[in-house]
Amino acid sequence: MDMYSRNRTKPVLSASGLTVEVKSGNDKLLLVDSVDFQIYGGKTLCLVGESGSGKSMTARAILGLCPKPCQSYANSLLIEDINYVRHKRVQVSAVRGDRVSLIPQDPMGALNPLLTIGRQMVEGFLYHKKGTYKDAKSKALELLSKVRISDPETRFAQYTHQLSGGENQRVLIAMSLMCDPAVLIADEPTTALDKTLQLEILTLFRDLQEALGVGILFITHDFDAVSFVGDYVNVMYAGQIVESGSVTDIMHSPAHPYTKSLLSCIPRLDQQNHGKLPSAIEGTVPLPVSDFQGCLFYERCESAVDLCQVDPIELRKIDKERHSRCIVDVHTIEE
Amino acid sequence: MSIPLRNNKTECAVECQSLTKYYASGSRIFSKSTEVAAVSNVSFQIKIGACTALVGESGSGKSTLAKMILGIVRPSEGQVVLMGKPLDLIPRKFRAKIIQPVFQDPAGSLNPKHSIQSILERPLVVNNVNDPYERQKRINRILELVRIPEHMTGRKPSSFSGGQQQRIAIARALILEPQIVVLDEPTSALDVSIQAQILQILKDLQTELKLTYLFITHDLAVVNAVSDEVLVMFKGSIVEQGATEQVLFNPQHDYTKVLTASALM
Amino acid sequence: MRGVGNLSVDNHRDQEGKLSMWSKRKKFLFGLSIVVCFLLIAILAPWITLHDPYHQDLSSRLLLPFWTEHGSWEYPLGTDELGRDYFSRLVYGARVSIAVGFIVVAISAPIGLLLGIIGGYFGGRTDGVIMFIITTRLALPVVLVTLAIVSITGGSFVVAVLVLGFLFWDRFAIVTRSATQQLRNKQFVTAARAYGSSHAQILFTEIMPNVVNQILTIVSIEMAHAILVEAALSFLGLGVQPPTPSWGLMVAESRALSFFLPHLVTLPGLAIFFLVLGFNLLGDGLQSLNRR
Repeated sequence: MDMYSRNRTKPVLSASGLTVEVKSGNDKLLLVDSVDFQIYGGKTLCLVGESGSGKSMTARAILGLCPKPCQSYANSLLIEDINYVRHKRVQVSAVRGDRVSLIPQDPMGALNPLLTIGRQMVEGFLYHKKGTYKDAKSKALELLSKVRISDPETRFAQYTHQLSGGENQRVLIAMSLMCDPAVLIADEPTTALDKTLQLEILTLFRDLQEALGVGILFITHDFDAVSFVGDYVNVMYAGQIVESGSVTDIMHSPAHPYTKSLLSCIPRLDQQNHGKLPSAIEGTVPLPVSDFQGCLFYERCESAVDLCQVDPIELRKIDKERHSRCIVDVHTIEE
Repeated sequence: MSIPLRNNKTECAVECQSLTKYYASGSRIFSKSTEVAAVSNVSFQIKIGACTALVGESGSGKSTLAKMILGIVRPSEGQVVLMGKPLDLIPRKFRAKIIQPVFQDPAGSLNPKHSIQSILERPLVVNNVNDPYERQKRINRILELVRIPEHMTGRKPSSFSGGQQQRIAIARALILEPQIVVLDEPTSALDVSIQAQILQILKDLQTELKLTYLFITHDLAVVNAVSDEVLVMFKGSIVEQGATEQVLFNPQHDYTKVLTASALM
Repeated sequence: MRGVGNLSVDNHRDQEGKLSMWSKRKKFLFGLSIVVCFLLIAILAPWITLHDPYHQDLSSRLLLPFWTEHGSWEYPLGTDELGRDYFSRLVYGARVSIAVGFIVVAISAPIGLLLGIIGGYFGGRTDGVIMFIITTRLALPVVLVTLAIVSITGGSFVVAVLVLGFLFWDRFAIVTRSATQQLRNKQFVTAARAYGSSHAQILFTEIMPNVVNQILTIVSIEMAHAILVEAALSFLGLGVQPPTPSWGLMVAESRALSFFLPHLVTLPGLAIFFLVLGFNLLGDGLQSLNRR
């Protein structure tokens, strides 16, 4: 299937009811609470949240890679129209690396220091039986130059320690594209890098997506990255999606109080904010609990009312392609 | 000979004069060892009560510079002057009452086997504050300032969140009532909402305790929010320094221009 | 107040199947119970035995244990060649073995700890010297050295214990050294220097508590090691001398009769086996618990 002619109006990946639980005594704690989202070819969906929001767990759940004590369930997980959920369990091992690929967080940790770059790159290709070694090598060289690594031939035979951090990250990106996946999951790919490198890598993501039409799930805690690469964004808090919509909508007029507070926490680099400290949200992210009434953000929310504590809050549609998990209309309050 | 700690004639909390640090690299047996300058010819001043930021990427030498200012690493050339006194003339115990560090990784900077009470008490014991009531009083006061509840002092660091651990680390740095605090990327490992809390606490503490901060970070937005002056470091040298507004929004040096451009995405 | 810790999966690792947690505990508890049993036996020796282990009664030589046809409860495990009650000798032998274990470790642990912590913390030339000392010690063949010393001084409990104590510190030193090397780069150590701690203070208050867990494991294992080697030495006649009851000695004394009266050899052998097993399980269990 030619990557260039990807259908850009139907989602390449559609998850419904994705849940990650862990047993604690007699309770079941929810690390990810019934999350739904769609990723479109050629578009980037950002999953934004702080530690404890469940964003990394969601990514692992899609790949079926949750660590042992945790169990993941889903109602359905459609990748290119094939459902990979059987008996509520996600079973993607056959297509991991093939149709859906992961770019892990730490480039130095994710690459094997004892194998050459080339050997690691061709591994997945050969495992998924996409072709011969020669095919694999030429694909690898092509991708290495696509991710703007100089002199791919030499690099192919080199080891991780001979490349810089930024180059290793590019190798990881190239590696994830070896089997022409429909979906790329990037787990905080720029967190471990210097700021100048971050910009380069993010630009690379944008360009690659433009060229290859791959759908990207971009996990991050950095809103700058979101505004740079994202088309859509889901904001996560304590295992739930609290707001979703297009990046422009959410960055300019956030609807959920958490998103609003989070955005105002970020220090800004502009003259009007010089010397001004960002406002803080009091309190901390709650631990996961099995049964909780009402809104998880209630205790830290400035716009909370008594009604917020009564029933579990659902994700409500507030506009075309916008959802918010809040019963208080933040826009009305502002007026 | 007693060395008065406060020299009223100076308004500089920290002054660095031509600081240089060489590290030997390369094999020492078969070839001459080449020396690499991690820091080369760095000079600047920080006024009392100011918050000066030090920015640079990894490899720029900012950590080595911080260690020299703290007295952990001896400079190859040049000297550090704290509150008007050259650092090498200040005995180690006195140094502790002038300058203290706060590190990046809160979990790593607290001994996992000690309770919070012990972590906060040790600096006082080591510095001969022998009266247990006096010690407890100071501990309680500092806990109040960083907003950690008193009843939790029996616990070990692993019971606390990252933000709380960092507050404990700040408390430990301040319990000896230093005048200068060197903060080495104090919020880089924390979530942005926790970072906002910590920055607020740091600002309040600076006003309350009349502290001078050297704030090392790579995040220019944080620099914009907290500091009056900024030093830009690249490959061991200071390439630009001045008032924050000037340097960030009207950069002169090429490297600063690259840094600010990549931050303003 | 809700929520203090972070939600990472590490917090939930405790839940990782109750079974595996219990099996780690099991090893530790099993080992501990064996060791405690032997300890009690050794301590309560005078009250649980009926005869004096040194008392010879040549008319009652080589009586058989109670489970055989001719055995009786008067000498529950029979008697040895000189008519001494085997049960009593086994029980008092436990005293020797356990004493060896504790005393050897009491000598070797401080030596190894000190060398390891100083080498690991200071690095550089000091570490170079310490590593040289450790390597030299590792190059020594322990049994030959013991042989040499014993041939000069003659064998005895004291000589055996001293020689083993001054030779068996290497594992302590190596483990402590690498643990200290990892710890000295931690920021809480730098912070301690910054608030004026001297090196000695840092070694005792900051580094030592973090090293203790690993040391306890090694203590347990080295006790087992010492007991085993002492048994071997006594078997060779280099350790405890007759008539003191020592399991190794008992095996040596009964060697000639082992075909006809195998229990004379197997009973002390089993005693050594179980005590060493107990200490090893204890040390292993401690290590598993620490890893959690």
